[in-house]
Amino acid sequence: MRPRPLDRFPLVRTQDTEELCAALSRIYAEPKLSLDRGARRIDVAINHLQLNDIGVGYTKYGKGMAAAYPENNFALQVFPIRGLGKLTIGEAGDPLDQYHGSTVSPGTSFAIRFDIDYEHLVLVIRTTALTNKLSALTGASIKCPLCFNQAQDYRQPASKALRNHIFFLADKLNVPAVPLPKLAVTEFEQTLIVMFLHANRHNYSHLLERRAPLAANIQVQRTEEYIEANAHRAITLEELADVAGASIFSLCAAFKAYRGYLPLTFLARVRARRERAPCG
Amino acid sequence: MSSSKPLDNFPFVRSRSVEEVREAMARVYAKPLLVPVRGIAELDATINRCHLPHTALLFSSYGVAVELDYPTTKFFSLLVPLRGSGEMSCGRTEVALPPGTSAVASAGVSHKANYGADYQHLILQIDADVLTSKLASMTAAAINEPLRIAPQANVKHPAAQMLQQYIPLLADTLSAADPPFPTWWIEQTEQLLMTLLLFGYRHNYSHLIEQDAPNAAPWHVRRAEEYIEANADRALSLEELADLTGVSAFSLFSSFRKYRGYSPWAFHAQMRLKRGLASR
Repeated sequence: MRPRPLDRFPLVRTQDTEELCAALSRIYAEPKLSLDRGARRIDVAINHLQLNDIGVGYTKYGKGMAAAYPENNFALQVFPIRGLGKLTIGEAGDPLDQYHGSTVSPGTSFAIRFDIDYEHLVLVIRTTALTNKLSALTGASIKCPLCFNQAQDYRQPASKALRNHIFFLADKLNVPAVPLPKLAVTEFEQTLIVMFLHANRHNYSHLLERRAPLAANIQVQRTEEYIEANAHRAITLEELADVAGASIFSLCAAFKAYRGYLPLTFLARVRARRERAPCG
Repeated sequence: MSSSKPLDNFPFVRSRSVEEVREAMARVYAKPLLVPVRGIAELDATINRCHLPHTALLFSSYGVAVELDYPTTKFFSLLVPLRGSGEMSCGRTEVALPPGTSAVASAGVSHKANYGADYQHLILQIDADVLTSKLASMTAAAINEPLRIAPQANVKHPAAQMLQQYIPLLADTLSAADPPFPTWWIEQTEQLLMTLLLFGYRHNYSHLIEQDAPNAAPWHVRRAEEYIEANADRALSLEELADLTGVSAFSLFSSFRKYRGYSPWAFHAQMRLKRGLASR
């Protein structure tokens, strides 16, 4: 038998609906399942790899069935591998097939049904991770709930890129090996979050598309003071953007414009200077 | 017609003339020495280059066997062979370049390469200042000595494997991106590439980012130990060790004291003893 995606991270293999519900409720709000007419048993295999802010799952449904999920505190996107299905939010239903998938916004209930021999990968991303990244990128505070377009066409370059990356990650992490360092996993998660925010249209897309305004000189100064005070430890750009109250773009553009170098270059120089002339 | 090659929509040079290819390469490198071997006067060169904010991704194929002599650069080059055979040498280190491997040429270090007629590769070039800043942000240290990355991947590290397999996916993704992906998308991807590179390859700051192995000695200490062990039968000079590791004699001594609690000479004497040689 060919290895299935994420086989190293089994969540459940079952023919029993109660067992399936119990397993699913470890990740999602507990769904209500319904079997096709005449069917008695199900035949399901689910694998799930949970990183920090994102999770990647694989599901195979051997028999046709449907599930209704209540609201979750994460966004979710479905990447069908084979077979046919349908994902419905309210009145709007989207086909699930080789070229089409669906995205569910955070805090939204949805229904999903699969015909026999359906398989997909699913990406889940914590709402807070999405809003944090959005405000770091744009400098805006994210007050209205995030709302994504539902339908996905995997022939579009941005969606295709995200899909390829999800499959790549599922494939590579399935190889038994020394685990990736924490920092590398975080960077991979950040990359997928960025790709997700780019591939899916949402109610903040316009902020990501506008040109970054320069942060003010005072924000650059505040950032420099913060770097001076914290140079003895690892510092991220997200953290600096937060301190400056500007987006990463604006802050970096302002450093370039007023100082001729980037914030992290300044950090490197502060450390180099201190090592040459240690004080205190 | 020839089939499409990676990054074909970012043509840099397509030429049969050795001089023309050299002129084109001089736009990126200080003018390299490029010589077709065995008296062949014509190339069949294709170089594609996708320029990104802090990095560049290249595809190159020369069509005939060539020798290249690269002067020092301000960027790090990660070579990912796709087909054919080749080899690269940095100082005394020689690295074979079969498909399924990768190699690095450090900034500030000249290197030579021999490529067979059917050799093709992708190259990721990363600006040295940006990579150094990334390293600084991942650690709490001052980066005074220039970053020097070992030419050969640390094949046991999952990040090395992942990076090498990720580069072709990225080339495909960038080729298919129409319209091009926004800067914030690409910059995040660059962060991921730099993180994987700094974990997947040994360098003179590896010890600072290996949180999982807090007691691991830095690369230059281990390199010096290997060398001393291999050459225990003869007298070694301090200059020789400093030259080998690329750090100053002073920092080599203090690293030995810090991570090993003894001097390189004590280690040398120990190795001689182990082999039954008289102490010097």
